[in-house]
Amino acid sequence: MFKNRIIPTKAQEEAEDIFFGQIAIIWSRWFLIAAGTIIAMWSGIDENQFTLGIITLVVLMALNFYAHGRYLTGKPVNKFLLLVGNLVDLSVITALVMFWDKGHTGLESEFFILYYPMLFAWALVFSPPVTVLFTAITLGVYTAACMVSPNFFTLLFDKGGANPLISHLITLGSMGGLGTYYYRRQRDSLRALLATKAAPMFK
Amino acid sequence: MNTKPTPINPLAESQMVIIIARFVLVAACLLLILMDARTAKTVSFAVSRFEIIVVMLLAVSNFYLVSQVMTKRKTQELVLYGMSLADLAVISMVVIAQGGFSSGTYIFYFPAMLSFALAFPTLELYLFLTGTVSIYGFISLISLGSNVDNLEMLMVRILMLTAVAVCGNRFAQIERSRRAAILSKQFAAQQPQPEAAVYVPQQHIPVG
Repeated sequence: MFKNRIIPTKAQEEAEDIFFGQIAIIWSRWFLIAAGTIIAMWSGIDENQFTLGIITLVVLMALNFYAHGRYLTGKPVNKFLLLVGNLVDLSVITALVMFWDKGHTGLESEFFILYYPMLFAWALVFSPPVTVLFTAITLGVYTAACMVSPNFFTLLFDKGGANPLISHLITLGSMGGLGTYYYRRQRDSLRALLATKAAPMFK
Repeated sequence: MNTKPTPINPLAESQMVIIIARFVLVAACLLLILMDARTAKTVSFAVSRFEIIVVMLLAVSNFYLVSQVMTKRKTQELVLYGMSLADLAVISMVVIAQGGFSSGTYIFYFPAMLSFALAFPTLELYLFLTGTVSIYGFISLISLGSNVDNLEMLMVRILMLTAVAVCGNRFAQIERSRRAAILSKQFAAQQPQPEAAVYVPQQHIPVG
């Protein structure tokens, strides 16, 4: 890939980042599947919910087997499929937050923690503008999922629910922000390395 | 004379990620403690004061790191590891002060683990991860109560913390190897080329 030391264009750079970095997304989805298995096995309250959980897990596993298999054979999946995969992850996690545990939905649901590795892996692979957009969408979707839960406003105003919501949003946002900051630094140093013919930069 | 490329030091180049993650922790903690103190609904005033002191200490220690980066001085690795341990200790203390498993402060482990995953070499990262998971697991188990369903959430929390560490570490490894490949190619290109070998036909080699 770096046979001749020509500085790659932005599009080439992004393609290389997706090529090399998508293993982060694949691993984050394996962890999501593992967590989903624990949740489905442990807290599925009836056969319908259990079946729905298992079917969702099978879909996620099929998606990830395909992506991981292609990565291992040196033909990683393209940007479009990664985008679709991440939107599926986002939808599944949001559905868990909204519907899974009938007594604890929305702000009371603990399943929002499944967003953390997803946002982080995304920030490592995609360019900062795309990451900022996806992080904003995730935060918006999570806030909306909290707002449509039946007792959101009671929680927010009478039971100090603003604190957990703010801390969730700050930490979720920081996953995207820190990930994309690291991504930018890596790109800058990689570009500087490719541009120079001099001695190594990192000591 | 060309120098051989030295291995990339992940800790030195990712120090800023640790610093920013700690500022996120400090800012968010301060905001939440002040909001909590104002409403006084979840914790007592004494606990709030304790938390404020600890967070302020964190902020001061972070300014030291920032000054090192701004003056382009190399921070001792031991100092960085020590400060990272202090982060984990502070989060764990706040978790204990707020009731263990029921405390929502554990989510601050996530940005901390993110910065470790990107900055630390693999062995150190997994030592930190094991320590964090063990301590948080222990704190949670002794405060879990009789509800077995809580165990499920504890497992999911630990799994997600591990996910952040593994994803960050895998990505950082790939980035380091990409740059190491470029460095070694550049080093090879700087070396003087060996003279071309002269082909001597077999029949011209004197025998005996």
